[in-house]
Amino acid sequence: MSEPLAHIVDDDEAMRDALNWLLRSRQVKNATWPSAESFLAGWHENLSGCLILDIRMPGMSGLELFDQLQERNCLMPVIFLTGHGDIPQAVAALKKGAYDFLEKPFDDNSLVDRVIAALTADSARRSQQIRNDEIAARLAQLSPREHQVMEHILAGKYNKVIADEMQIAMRTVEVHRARIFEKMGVRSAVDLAQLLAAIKNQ
Amino acid sequence: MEDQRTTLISDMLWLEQEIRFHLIRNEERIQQLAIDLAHTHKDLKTFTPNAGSLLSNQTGLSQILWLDTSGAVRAALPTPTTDAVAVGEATPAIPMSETLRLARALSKPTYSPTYAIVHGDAQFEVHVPQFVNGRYGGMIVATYSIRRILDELVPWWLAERYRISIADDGGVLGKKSLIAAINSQMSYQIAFDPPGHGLLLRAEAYELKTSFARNLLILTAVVLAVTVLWSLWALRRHMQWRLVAEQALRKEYAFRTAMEDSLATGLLARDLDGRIMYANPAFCRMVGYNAEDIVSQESLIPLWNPAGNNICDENMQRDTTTSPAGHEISLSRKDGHTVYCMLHTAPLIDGNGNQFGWLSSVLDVTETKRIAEIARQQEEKLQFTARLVAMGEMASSLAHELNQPLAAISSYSTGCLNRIEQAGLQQADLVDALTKIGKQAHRAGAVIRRIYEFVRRSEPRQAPCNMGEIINDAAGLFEGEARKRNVEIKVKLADALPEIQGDRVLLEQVLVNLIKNGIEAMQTTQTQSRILEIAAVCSTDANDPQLCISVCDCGSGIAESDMDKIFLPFFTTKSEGMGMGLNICRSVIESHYGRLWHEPKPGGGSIFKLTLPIHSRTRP
Repeated sequence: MSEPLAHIVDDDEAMRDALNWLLRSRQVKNATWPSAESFLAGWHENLSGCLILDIRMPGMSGLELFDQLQERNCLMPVIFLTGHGDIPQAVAALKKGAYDFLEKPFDDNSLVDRVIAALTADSARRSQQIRNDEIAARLAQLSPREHQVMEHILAGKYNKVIADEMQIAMRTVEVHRARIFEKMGVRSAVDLAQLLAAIKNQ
Repeated sequence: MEDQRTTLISDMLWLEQEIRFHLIRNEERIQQLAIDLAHTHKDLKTFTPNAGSLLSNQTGLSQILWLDTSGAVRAALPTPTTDAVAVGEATPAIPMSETLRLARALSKPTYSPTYAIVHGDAQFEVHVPQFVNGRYGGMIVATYSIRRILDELVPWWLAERYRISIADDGGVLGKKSLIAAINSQMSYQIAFDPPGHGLLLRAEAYELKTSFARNLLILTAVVLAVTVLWSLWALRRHMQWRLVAEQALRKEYAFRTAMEDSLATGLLARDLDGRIMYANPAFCRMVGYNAEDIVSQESLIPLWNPAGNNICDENMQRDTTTSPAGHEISLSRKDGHTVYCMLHTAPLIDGNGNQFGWLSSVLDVTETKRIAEIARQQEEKLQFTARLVAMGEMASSLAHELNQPLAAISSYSTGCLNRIEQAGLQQADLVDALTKIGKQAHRAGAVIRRIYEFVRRSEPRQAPCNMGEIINDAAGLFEGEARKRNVEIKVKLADALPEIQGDRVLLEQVLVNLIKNGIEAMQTTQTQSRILEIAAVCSTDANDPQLCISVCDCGSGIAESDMDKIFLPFFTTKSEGMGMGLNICRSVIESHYGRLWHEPKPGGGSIFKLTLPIHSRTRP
């Protein structure tokens, strides 16, 4: 996983440099890209942080880049910088899942605030993603039989009831339960339920 | 012919009967005289008056004798002479003794044979015996003259048609007429009895005279009949012709009425004074009046639009020239609405070639006008919108261009401030940032300069152009607009305007702008004084010859406070204006090395004056 950065995509060199200067004054690490195409070429799944995207650019526009990134399941938050008269486009982008938009001329520090917020949100999303991946890996370790038993446990049934319903020995249920708890890294049925509820909420 | 003969016979029978009736009556009267003479014994006193009346009473008698038993004359009228008149050898004694004896023997009136007497006449006698107390007492002898019988007993009308004669075996004894040829074919004779003795009554028709008169009569009758028949025939033919003509007329009339009624175009006939003589239903529908309301109205005021009365009068004047294109008038409907109509007029001329009025076809163009007006407004709106869109695009790109360096400057400065707050600002960094800020400020300035350059780049294309044409073209563009707004555009051009060097399109645009401003300025002016005057003259200065053009309106004028602002960009008094018009105009004129300025018009209104050099100059 690469370092989280604020990726500035703007065709105007002075703009890029000024934003770089501004973000650095608040200790926000950033990278600059001279066009949408160059960013798309340098993009990979492990890129993290947020995007500061100028809507109006020669060649591929900011909105087109945004669409392309969404197609590639890039979940980085995107802050659009709009000029005069681009508001409807920005609103449409917001509906599609953009993080925010700021109209030029903007209050520079509020832009930095939004960037920091976006970076935080991205890192939170990423750590959540890591946890989810871990749980999914643990679930994948369970055998089909253990999966069945786990469903019953999550339904809040006692071992005896589970044994009756599955027509297996009480002892076998207890062994399955111990194995499930061990594989999922939990100590109780309540912990297991909470762990799985977090995934289901995603 | 047969008819004639039948008539002749019946006439003769009638005549014979008539004469015989006379003779018998005479006979009776003589018998009565004889009886009277026998009884009275007063002889002559009785005889003379009675015999006299017999002789004088158109009886054909010529003499009456009274003989005694011995045969001697006792009394006589008119004369006692008896024998002096007789002629010829076989003449017996008069009165005839033979007849006398016969009468005495028979004791009844007896007629003697006829014998000739002097003067070519002939006579016969009737002997009437007289008895006194049963014995023979004498004889009354009455003598008939054949001539007198013919004269007195044959009526004139018969004598006119026929030659009546009395004849015996020996020949004709007497005749009524001696003249004219006689139609031997058309004659008839009948026995004359009494007196008998072979006497004949004969009638012969006057051939020629009768035939001619008759033919004439027939001819006349035939001619008359033919004339009557011909007249009848002619009358009938005339009647038929009239009927056909009437029917054709009625048909034609019905046809015309149907045509007039079915027309959607109004028809209006006016006399020379402008009174309406006829209006068809379409016209009545158009103006909402009944035909009887407007036909022969003394005054036209209710119909013609009061607001446009002067225009209407002018139209009436213009009628006399009957322009083929027609002209537009506005009429007041009964409900007060205004109807706009297209009027095409032709003179009404009677059979003698005298004009007695005008016939106009009236086309309702209100709807057309309304649609055109809506279309015009929409076009105006569209143009305005297009202008706004273009402006918006330009402003947007301008804003973006300017925003970039401004945003950069802002970010640099905010970055500097952030660092100063955190006391982490190196002097080298600050220099770097400030340099960059300065660079961006220059960049912004360059954007603005580029826009200015863009505006200035539109150099006018110089070509010789005729200012008179340009003025007329520009004024022509406003014809419709001016008519709509009741503005009269007067163009006064000096003769022989010289050509000038310039961009025709731009100069025309300047005039269009000035005319448009002028027309719009007169929106609140009274209709009759909405006059826009465009004048062009050459200045007389030989050193600096100039063309002076003035556009003068009678509008609201320009407020004192606005006088020095009107040529500034984005200054406008109009709700839809951009405030660029006069500014651009001045730029255009100045690029042609001319001047454009404004003067207030005495009495309200504005005069925009511009001068253009006549000789082209090189650019300074």
